[in-house]
Amino acid sequence: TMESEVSSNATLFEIVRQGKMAMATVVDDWIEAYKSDRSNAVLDMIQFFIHASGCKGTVTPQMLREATEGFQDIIKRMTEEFDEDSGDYPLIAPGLQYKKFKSNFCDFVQALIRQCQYQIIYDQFMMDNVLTLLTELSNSQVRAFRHTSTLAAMKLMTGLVNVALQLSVSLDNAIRQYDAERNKAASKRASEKLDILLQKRKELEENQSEIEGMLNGIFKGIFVHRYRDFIADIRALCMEEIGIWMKMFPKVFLTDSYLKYVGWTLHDKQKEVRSKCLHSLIGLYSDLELARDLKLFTSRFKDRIVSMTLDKEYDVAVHAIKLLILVLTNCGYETPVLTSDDCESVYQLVYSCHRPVAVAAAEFLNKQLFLNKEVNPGYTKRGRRRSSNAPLITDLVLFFIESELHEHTTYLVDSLWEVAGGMLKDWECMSNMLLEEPAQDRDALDQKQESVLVDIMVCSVKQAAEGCPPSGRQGYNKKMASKDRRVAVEDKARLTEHFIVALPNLLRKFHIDKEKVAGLLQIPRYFDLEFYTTSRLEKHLDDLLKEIAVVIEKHTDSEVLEQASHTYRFLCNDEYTISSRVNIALRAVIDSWFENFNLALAIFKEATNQGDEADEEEVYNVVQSLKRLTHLYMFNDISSDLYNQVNSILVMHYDSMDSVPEPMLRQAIKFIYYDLIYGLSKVKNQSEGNEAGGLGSHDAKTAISQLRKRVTEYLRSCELSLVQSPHKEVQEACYMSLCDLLVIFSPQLATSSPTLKPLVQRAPDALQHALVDFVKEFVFTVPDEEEDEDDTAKIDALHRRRSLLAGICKLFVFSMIDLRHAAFIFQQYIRYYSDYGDIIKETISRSRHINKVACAQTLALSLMKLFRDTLAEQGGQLDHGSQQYGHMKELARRFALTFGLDQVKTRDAVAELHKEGILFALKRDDGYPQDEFIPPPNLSFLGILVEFSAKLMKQDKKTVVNYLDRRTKESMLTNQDPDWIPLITYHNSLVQGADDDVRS
Amino acid sequence: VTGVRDIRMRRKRKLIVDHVMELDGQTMREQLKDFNDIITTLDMAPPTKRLMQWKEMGGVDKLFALPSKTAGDDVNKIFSINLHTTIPDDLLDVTGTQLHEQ
Repeated sequence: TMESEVSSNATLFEIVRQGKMAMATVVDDWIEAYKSDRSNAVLDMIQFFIHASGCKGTVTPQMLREATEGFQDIIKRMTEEFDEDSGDYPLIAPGLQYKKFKSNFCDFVQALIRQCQYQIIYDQFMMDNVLTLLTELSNSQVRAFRHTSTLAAMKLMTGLVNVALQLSVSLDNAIRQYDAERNKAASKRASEKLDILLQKRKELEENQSEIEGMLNGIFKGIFVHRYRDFIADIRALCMEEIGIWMKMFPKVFLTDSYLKYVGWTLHDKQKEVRSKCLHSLIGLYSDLELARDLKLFTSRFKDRIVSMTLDKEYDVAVHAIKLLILVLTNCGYETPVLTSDDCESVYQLVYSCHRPVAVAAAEFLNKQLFLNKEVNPGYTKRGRRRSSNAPLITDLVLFFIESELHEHTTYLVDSLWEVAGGMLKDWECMSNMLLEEPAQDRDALDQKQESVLVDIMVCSVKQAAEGCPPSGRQGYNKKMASKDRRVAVEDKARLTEHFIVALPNLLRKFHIDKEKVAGLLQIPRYFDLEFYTTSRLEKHLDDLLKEIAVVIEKHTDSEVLEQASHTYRFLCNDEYTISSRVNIALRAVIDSWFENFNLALAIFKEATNQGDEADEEEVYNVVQSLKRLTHLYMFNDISSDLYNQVNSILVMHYDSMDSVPEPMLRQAIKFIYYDLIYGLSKVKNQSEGNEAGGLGSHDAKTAISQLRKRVTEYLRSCELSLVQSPHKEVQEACYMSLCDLLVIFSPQLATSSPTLKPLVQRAPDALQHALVDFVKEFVFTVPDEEEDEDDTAKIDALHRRRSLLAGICKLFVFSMIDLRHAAFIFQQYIRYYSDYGDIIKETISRSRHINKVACAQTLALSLMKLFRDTLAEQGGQLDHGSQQYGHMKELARRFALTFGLDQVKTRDAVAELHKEGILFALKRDDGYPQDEFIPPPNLSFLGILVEFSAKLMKQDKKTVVNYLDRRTKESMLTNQDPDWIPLITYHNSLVQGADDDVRS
Repeated sequence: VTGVRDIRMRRKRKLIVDHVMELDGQTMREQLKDFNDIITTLDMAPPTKRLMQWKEMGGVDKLFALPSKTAGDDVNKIFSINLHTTIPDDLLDVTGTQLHEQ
């Protein structure tokens, strides 16, 4: 075939690069040539290495003849004749041409040694020439020569190490044979045979000595220089190769005089080099025999290796951890190598945000804590044997509590998932540990430990059912493999079967403990609900529903109530037969709390009607019963008829401010919020149902009218409290309700449901101002630095403020309130960049998308307001050196950047911004004429506006400059008074690059 | 280095020449002594459930797609269906006050 035809003119380099022939065959051909003409063949080999470095020069026989000291002259000549196209050379060149060159090259070199090992290698001609050439090339400042030759030399040395190994074996054999023959009784000896064996032995010893010489030559001549080469790739390849020699021939290479190079290079500043070192060490430590010889090395470099688990580069860190696992496994010296501090520094990495690091650390933890531990699990009080996983899970709980780094077990469970999944999914064991009292006190868990166990159990249920790691981690492929999906389905079935039965018991036992209960309540949301029906387990469902009702009875904690509400929603899924059963139970709970609330409210009203104050218990009963209903409303349509009742609380409040305690008011505000939304939902469904016929349209009209009235009333109440309430929590609740409802009842409602147009609400101007004022006060504020607030509390508070800010920004972005009110928020872009920069930027860009001109006007307004305030603060005369001035310039610059690069798209907006800016800058108070000698008070604003000149298209610059010129006098541009400088600078910015550069 | 001189057309050579070929002794010693620049501290995944939730839901995309208050899917849907700017013509320039008068 054409592929097997190799042109006789093809160079050795081309043949190797193309890789169409097996390297062994290429070497065979070369050996044939060598046998018939040594010099020529060596010339070809020299040429090969020259070409392989990317050099196009030709080595001629004459050059070889004339070469004096080694190959220096030739190399110099080749450097001159390199004829390079770029800085690339075959080893590093991108593209298909050279894709496989490196591996072919390495294969060739090793094949060469392998196939020459019996004779040619000892002829003192070939090796002499090749080694000299490679040594000298490896000393060249030309990187291509140095890199290529070093790689060749290292691979060549690996080939020679192989040869040395084989010689070693042959020599041992020969010695044995010789001794065996010599020890025979004189009569049985054959002296000829003895001579032959002696001869053979001597030959092998000579060969061995020669190979050793070559190895030493390469090591001392090349390795010791190139392992510390300036170029990381070269250092890395040295480290890779020395690891191979050590593993292959430990007798010679696994000594401290070689190991020290690896140890030192663990400190290399380049990650690829450090990685190669660790990789080489991993190869050594995984061998139990070799690990024994590493005792000294381990003690000397252990600390460095431990420090590498926190390497800046995650890949290196993962390698380091894997190495430590091997140290743990195979370095069982008399005293443990790793101290408890060492171990702990690895343990903490299970909480790393980089998943591969965490998983490797978990393997380490698993090795220490869980693997091959034979602990007697003991018995329960009732006499049953506990699961063998029980002691291990206990240790896991204790480990978590001791590590004190995380407050939840989500990521610990995730890290251990692959290596200890069996243990983590032993839900039966966990349930038993929680429900069954152990016979031995030492096996018992205290309350805190039980809580941790519940958390572990819930997290493992979640991860098993979802089949993927929790969010919040990086460094791995987030796509789920089909295998994972299948396993998740199986796990889901198993957990459903188990917890359908076990969960009611767990809830019953722990119903008082809010932390445990909040966790346990989540479990049903991972069930395959079909099981209740198919396995006839409805009785357990009744049990569960009963326990949930009890929990709601006993708890007022928001987290608990929210989880219960959410789980009810999940169980009510009408795709499953059980939904009617669940609905009935839920209905009963809702009705009972309706009753409780109505009663409590009546008692409260009676107490306060008489002019007295209601006592604590009376208030408490109202608040807490309403709280249950509000939380149920979060996830379920509780179909309440309670609007009037709950609204009466608001009415009471507005009648007389002090009549309603703040918690009650707040709860009422929250309740009505949901009530209105579900009211809308109902009316929506009715109207959609009515499209077919006119049935019940009268009812629909009434419902709409009633809802409209209620929404209007509520929005007004919230606005009032937003502005007037002294309680921050009330203001916040009102603000959030307003932001959300202004979206839900926005004109957009009429787009999707035209019949609901009467329900549309728009915020009056006063309300819009109130919303901005709230944000001013509670979002753009320096938070009180509370002494005992830790970092997590601070971050939590920040997120809450971000959520508040987003509330109003959504209204801007979807044109539900006037964008011009966003001016204040845009002003904060730089000051609050780290906290809210992304939100502000998003608001600018999204609102620009909706209405370019309005956005530009708001940006202009933002700057103008800031300018006015600054000017006032500085007493009417702008200090151009001040920090505030610098801040305005920077803000303008950042605003300009948000316009992006597409000048055509934004031209109207940019032009508009300039016009507004000009008008503002030239404005004079009424009664002051345009005076060409007294600059207008805001003229320095042009020094800010100039930041936007670059965003104008050429032709628009002309338009803007004309606009400016019409409102100014020519003499102003030549006025020497420094106050006019902003005008001159701005004018120039428009004129430079415009088509005309002079005024007519 | 010998050979790399602009002998011919004084064109700039692209051949990469390393005038420093080895890391010197000082560099090697410094590396051994101080490796703090290649070490970092533990970068933890969110340490509380709340922070974990915030990390997932606290980004700009999620903040702009969901209501401020926690609620179920039914409520979220009613909210998010309005997150666009198409409104009926007759409501375009109507202010809040005008709406109330209707």
